[in-house]
Amino acid sequence: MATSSEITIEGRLENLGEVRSFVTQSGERLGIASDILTELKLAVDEAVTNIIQHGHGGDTKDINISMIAIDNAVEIVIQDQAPPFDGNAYSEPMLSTPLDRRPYGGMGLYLIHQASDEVKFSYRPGRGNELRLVRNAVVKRS
Amino acid sequence: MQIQVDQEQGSAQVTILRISGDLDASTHNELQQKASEMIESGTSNILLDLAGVSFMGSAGLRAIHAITNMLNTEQSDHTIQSKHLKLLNPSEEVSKIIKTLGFDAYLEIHSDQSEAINSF
Repeated sequence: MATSSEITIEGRLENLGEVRSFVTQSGERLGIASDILTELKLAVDEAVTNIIQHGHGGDTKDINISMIAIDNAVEIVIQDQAPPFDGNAYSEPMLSTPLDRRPYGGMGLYLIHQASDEVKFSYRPGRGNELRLVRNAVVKRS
Repeated sequence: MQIQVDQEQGSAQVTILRISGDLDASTHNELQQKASEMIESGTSNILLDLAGVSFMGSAGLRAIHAITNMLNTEQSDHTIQSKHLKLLNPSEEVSKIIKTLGFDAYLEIHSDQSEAINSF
């Protein structure tokens, strides 16, 4: 049986700290190496921030986050009740462009992709959006 | 998140904003607002002391981006590092996101406060 953890939070920016604590504590319990866990914590923070700021449109609907260890990988699933969002197609931010010519924002999806080996957005009517992140080779070597 | 403001005189006057806590989407506006107030009251050089920042996401970088642009209005060459905003002592975790998002090419990162102040 796989090891997993799950949390449901109210979609408020003030709850981001709780989300990060959940990822850190669950990841440690799942045996994820600390450097990888840092990247995953950032990815989840970015994903939840995007949902709260852009998806829920000011509503404080619930967001569910689960982490499950499968062999040497971890799968993180984030579910929300926002209107359908397809983040599968995204363009990399202009990282080498001087700051005065660089648009603000657009960095969250990039960080999510940087932290993950697989990123998949899907939408099911009645169940909402689901973002599935997979990161391989996460378990600490003993 | 808390912000302590110190003033130091080197070869130029430098305002140090010492940030402690999490710099995320729930707090980045506080930093941007504080910096904006300082700039409106005459500050032209800011050193952001990041030693106390326990977490920084892209929202924190967005605030730093906005502050850089507020301060750099009189800098003609934007392809070089900012002469008016510099960073001090980010943690390894915070340094990584700064580099991942390409901000290190345009912002000096110092580990010594005196050296940082005298670089303005």
